[in-house]
Amino acid sequence: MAAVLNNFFCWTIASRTRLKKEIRTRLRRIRLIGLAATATAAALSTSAAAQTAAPPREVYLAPDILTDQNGRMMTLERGLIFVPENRSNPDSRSIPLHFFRAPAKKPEPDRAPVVYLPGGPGYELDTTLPNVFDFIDRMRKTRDVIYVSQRGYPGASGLIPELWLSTPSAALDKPASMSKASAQLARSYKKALSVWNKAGVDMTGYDVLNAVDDVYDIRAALGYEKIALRGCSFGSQWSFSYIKRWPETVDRALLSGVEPLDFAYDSADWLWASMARVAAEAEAQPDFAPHIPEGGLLEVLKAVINRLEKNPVSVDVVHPETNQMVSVRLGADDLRMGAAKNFYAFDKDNDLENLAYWPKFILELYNGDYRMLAMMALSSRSEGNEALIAQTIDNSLGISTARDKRLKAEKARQWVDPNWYFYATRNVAGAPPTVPANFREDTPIDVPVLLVSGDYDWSTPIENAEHAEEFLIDGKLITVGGGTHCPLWNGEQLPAQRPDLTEAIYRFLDMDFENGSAADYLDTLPATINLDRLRYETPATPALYEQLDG
Amino acid sequence: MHSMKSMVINNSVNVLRFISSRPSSGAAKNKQSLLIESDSTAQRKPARSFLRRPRGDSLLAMLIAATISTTVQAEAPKRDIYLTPDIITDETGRTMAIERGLIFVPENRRDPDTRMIPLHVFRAPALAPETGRAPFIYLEGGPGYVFLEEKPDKLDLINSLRQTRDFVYIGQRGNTDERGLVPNMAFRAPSAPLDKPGSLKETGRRLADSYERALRRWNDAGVDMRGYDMDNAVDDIYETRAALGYDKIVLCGCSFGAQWSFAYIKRWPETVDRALLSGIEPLDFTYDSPDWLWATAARVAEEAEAYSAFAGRVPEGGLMKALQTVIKRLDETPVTVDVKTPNADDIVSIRLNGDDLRIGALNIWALGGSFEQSNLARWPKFVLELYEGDYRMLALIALADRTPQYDEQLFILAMDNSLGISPARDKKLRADTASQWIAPNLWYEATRNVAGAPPEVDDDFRKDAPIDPPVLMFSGDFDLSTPIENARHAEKFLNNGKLITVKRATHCPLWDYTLLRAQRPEETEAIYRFVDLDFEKTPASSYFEKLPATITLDPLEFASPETPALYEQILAQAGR
Repeated sequence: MAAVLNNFFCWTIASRTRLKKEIRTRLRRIRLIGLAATATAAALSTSAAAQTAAPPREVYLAPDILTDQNGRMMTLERGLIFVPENRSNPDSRSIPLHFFRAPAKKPEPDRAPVVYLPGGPGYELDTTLPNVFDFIDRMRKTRDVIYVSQRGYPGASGLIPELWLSTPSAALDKPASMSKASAQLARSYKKALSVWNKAGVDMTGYDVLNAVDDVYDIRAALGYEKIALRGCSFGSQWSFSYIKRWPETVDRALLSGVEPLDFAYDSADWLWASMARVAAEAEAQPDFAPHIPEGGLLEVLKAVINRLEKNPVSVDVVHPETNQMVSVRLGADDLRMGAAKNFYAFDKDNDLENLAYWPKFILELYNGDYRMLAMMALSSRSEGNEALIAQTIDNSLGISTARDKRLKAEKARQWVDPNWYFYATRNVAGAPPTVPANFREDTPIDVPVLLVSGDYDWSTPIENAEHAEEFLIDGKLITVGGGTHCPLWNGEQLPAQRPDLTEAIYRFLDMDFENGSAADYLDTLPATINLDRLRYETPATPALYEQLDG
Repeated sequence: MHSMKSMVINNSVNVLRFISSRPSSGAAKNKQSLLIESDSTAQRKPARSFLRRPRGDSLLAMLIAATISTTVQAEAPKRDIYLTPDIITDETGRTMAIERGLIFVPENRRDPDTRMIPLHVFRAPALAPETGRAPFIYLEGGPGYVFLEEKPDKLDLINSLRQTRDFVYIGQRGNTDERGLVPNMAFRAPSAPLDKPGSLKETGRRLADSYERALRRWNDAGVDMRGYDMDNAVDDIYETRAALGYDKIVLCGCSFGAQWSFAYIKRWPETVDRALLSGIEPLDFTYDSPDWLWATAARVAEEAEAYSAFAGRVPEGGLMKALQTVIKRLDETPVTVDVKTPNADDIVSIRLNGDDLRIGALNIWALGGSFEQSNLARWPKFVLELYEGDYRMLALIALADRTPQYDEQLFILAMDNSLGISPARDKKLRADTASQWIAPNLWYEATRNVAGAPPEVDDDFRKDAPIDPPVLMFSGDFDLSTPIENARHAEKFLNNGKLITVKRATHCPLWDYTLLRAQRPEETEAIYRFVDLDFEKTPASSYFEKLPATITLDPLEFASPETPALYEQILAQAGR
């Protein structure tokens, strides 16, 4: 590691020398990918001698200075590691993968670095955001912080082909149709995979297992044995995958927006339960209560879906790009496919402010004002461009037969279907294989793990985290009352409202668990942290559509 | 010489060759590394360990260098290059399969211990490849621009130029907008007070201070800012050429891209097949001539004065005289102007004097037009507004200058200053009459001798020298960035070249899709044939004879003095 720090252009000599010694004394690691060899691999990975060995990879490092929007600066190293595009193919080409390393402020010897894994998939950390600057800076108190980009994400730094999934626009004069949208998505996805596979990219390599081994290889190339994982949402699932595959190289993990390995597909019932918690709080708000129809907000939502199912409506709104009036025909599937929970579309400053408008949105629908829903439809029906890896990586985890069966039988699926695009794209040719079934199985995790999850999280319901907690031998779940997806990431939630407890959570990353056990530390943390009560917007304020800027 | 290229294409795999100074090749042979070592015959051995341009201290050194470059022209130090297939998709959905790559070149070739930096390149294959043809090398301008692949006109451009040759784009080292992994080398000058009038000296000092601080910050961080100079940028082309397996190249660029090309021709003439240049900037012409810029503005003014909408509105003596009058007036009596900022509803008071106008007088890009010629078409109105006492547009220009909202790329000044200016031209420009009215070289003069920047080339390098390969140049006589007089000067040194004057054209008339290509498509096609012709069969001179010396574009539709004030138009455009 010293060699790396001293030479910005460096072929990771230190790790390679160590590697050579180890190679002589141990079995060569068998790659798990594509093989039904999980058991063998698991046996190998428990061999302590093998834990830091990784194939040598070329690494390019450059100095850089991260500057946030407030002008604060952080000196770090940025790098490209050349990893196989597809580790299950011995003739695979190499691809460059971006990462950066921010050095520890007060380095302590031999400390595992914090490895931050972004969510999505199809997301790159925006280091100019002050809240991002803050948490990187906090995490590097005693440990180096390493950020790893997602392979194949064209929005990431480095040199990634333009692996986008483009979808055509859908008609505005017909209501949304889940079956038609699914068929179209499958066609577009299949075409994109075919185009890129023909162009010479191996799309079958853009799966979770290769992404896991990217982390493993970066760790080794930078000269570390163990790592502390930090991720939210897909970042947590990427972390769980890493823990499953390389447990001996994990020091601890701090995860939020918890997504266990068999939970790429969301439970409609649990999502509905999360929505019910928000509805209940709004219904209890004194100035909101008088506006609530009989049965409450979720009954209202059901009524609206039923009404649109029978009678689609046409709504005139001003198109935000052309400034022209357009007519949009809306139906029940518009809500089912995502609009029912898409509070992000309200375009307020942060998650909590958006969520505060959601009950008002439902009431507007009930009262026949569909304009906000029409704006959402304009957006969801316009030409799309998303990262191909969003489908390839998620589908590579897939779902177990048992869970698939259970989710399909869920009652709330008639109101919200969070998985329609997985169903649409899961068996398309040219995509990566799915992991072996036993990779998804819940297994005990014995490294210290702290989970932080919001009970208003509509992307990864808190029930996910409660399930994951059962398999933590040395772990804890902190429920953030009133927290949305990634309550530690979102600056307005834990960091702004509960700074002391946020600090206590991050201290989990600093602690030396060889002097003082993790369990003792976790005991000092509360099981629940409640955020301030959300102040819901009442129907008295102007309609959401009228509040949209421009 | 194409062995490596065909290997890359046939196997659709990346080729990552190894730096010759890499400690061990053991790992490369290890199958686990999955890296394929090229057995390229294009580069047999590193010719010289470092490409050092002979400095002007001895004629002998020049001669030795010249000898070397004629004998080992295709040889260059071996560089790692990584290539991946990619597909460009433009805004209309059209696609083009390309190879995209990173070439690892020394950050500073003058330092034997330098680190390597990745440089972004891409290659679009020839549509009807002919064997052994030199590729077309496209160089962006600025410095600071990147090739906008998603723009439909850029895709058209590539297709026009890759009929028989590969099209290769080479990014600018240090350009933070480029792909690859460029450190965020940027800086921002501090804001200047609004309640004091502008000052050339103060503006220069602010820029120089922040530039120097940024150079120090980045040099301290481990970047070697001295490597971001023309010397190294030229050798980036030379080495990319070699790494992609080519012997000779066709150069093409506008503005800084033209200057980069001239620098390449100066240094590696034997590897140049031909050059297609516009926005002409000879090597000693980084600093612009105030007199020539003034002459350009005068041509625009003259045309505007004859324009019907200006009838009866032009002051005695014409628009140029009016501009001088306003500068003198503001020198004597600075004014305070209240303006609304375009991006917010704030009203600010800003004090203006003659120096503000010296800085902003020819800043047509601030005038709110949608492309360059439409900006220029607003300029006579701008002058007239000033003369009639409406200083609000100038206030917006000064406000933007005094309160920088965006970071500047650090390498821009480093690169431009590395060419500098010869003492002779420096003296001549300072004596230009128009230097009392405009200050086009303020930035360079202020930052020329800042510590931590690259060294300047010598006078020998900047000196005009005859150019043998065929060169076709275009220049607009309304070009306020690189006046056509630059091109007329450069033309004198072309042994086998031609200048086409494009009347009424602004900067880069061939690349600006609103100019030649839109208005004179047939002539443009004839010009593009320069790229494909085989000059061994048809001499370039006979082709040049058939081309017109002048192409005249349509008259500009000047913004009328009767329309709302420019300031009001800009606020309306911003939705205020």
